[in-house]
Amino acid sequence: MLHRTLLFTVALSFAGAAAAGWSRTAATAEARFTGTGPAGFKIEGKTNDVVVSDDGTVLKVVVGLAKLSTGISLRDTHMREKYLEIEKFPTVALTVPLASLSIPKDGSTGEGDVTGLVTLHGVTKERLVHYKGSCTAGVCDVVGTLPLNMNEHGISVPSYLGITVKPAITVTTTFQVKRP
Amino acid sequence: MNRLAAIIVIVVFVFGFAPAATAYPTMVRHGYASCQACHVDPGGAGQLSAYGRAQSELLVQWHPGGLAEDAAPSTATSFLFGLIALPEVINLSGNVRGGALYNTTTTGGGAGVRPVVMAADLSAAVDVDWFIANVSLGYGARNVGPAVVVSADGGGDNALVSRTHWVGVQLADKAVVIRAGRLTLPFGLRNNEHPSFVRAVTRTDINVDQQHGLAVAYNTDGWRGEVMAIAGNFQVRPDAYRERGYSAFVEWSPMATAAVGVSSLVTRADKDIDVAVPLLRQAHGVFARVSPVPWLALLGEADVVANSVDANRWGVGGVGWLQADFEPVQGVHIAPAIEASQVDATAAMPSTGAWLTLAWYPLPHTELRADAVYTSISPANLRGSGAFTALLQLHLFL
Repeated sequence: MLHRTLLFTVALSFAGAAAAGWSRTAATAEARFTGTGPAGFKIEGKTNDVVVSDDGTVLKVVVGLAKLSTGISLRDTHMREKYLEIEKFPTVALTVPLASLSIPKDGSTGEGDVTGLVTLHGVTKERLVHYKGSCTAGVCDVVGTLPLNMNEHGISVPSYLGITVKPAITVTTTFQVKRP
Repeated sequence: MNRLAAIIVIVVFVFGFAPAATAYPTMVRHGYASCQACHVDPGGAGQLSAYGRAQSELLVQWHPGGLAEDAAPSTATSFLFGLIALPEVINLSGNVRGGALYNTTTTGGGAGVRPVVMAADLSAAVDVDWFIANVSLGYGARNVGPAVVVSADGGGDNALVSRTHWVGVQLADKAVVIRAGRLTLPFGLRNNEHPSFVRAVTRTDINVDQQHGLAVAYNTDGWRGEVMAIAGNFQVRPDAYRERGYSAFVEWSPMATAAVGVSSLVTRADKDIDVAVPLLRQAHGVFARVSPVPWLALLGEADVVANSVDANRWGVGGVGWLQADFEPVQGVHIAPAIEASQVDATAAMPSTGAWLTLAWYPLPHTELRADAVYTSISPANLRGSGAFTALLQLHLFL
């Protein structure tokens, strides 16, 4: 493969909503992970397969991993098949209680930290998510940042020809939602 | 200083054009802003690591019909095409470049085609835990004076050359590498085009301009840099020719496909190797590597240079390089470039150059490359005001 690189990704966060019915607009969403290795080695992967939903209690962000790409096809193959095992674990999901989110009013921005549940590679862990939101005319642009550790989710650390990826990665998700 | 500029440009273009180096700063298009994963030298260029060899097949080589999604690097990427299995801590490689060179000046001087052997080097590296070392030895056919270990007539032709040889320690998960030996000067782009003004005028190419000294390199997420204390090139004699000073760069990569850096160099020799007088040289500049889309990588560098034979009188000027590397399909590169040099601000016109490079990587370990270069030299001189060079070369690395 090639570098067996990394990994996966996740989904992430948000900012949010307070009432049921938040949904994505047609604007392109993106989930991106950044991993590092020795001596400045860096990998970025991204996908636009981001689904946002809310059931009135929790906001859920689900990222499909099948199209997660780092720009190098062989590395992607290894990432999906060997490390993320997407046949068994096709998505990564973040759920956040709506009540814990501070939602900006129209014409304003806001940010905060919220604890959510991240399910990655079949393992669910509590994680602190940092989110920023900017709302205008009932539409909010959201950026969420989530630090993750591959070891804690049972994902083997990719290592190839002397390059070993560090288990700590950062996932950033951006999307746009409209108020119910 | 006009004379110094003219000497450097003429020597390089009329007599010394022979790209022998191997560096791929355009790999930023694949998100490799840092060079250390693929090269033994933490600053990039030269001998590849095992990881770099794999990338050469997966990301650099031409694959008609595209590379299969589950393709893995073949054993052919290894030393001698994998015929000899080496211990993991030993890295051996060979580098051979040869071809045909045509050049002429506007007065017709020097016209003609001649065969050239640009490089025939063997390199070895040892990488064991915190210890790392590298040495290259090879045959230099022409104009390799600064890298000569010994030659038949004491000159710069037909010589045993060593471009690099150093030992080092790796600390903090290889983020810090301290090295001593003959090192490529940390300055600007490590581009293959060593006759380019930015490399020739600053004397920081990866072909023969290495010097002995002590360097500390730092590579981490988003930042890399190196500072070197230059003790002189101990492959030139007498000692008066040896430059002492420092060279350094810092590069910031705000995203995987873009990087911008600054460089600085100050050296002094009692007797400059080109103009044979005491010379204090300075060069300070900026450089950038950006890949807005995968099929295009842009490289740029601009340096202010100042030379003085007398601390009270400085010849101040500048050099610049801008290259666009198009890769319409993997393994095929079309790379036009423009450059300018005005080492003395009082010169009426800057020297300028235009390059067109075609490179094709048809097989493992193989590069076919053609360069066409027109350089307009200012001020005009006995050899005319311009030079045209065409070079066709085959590069094999083992």
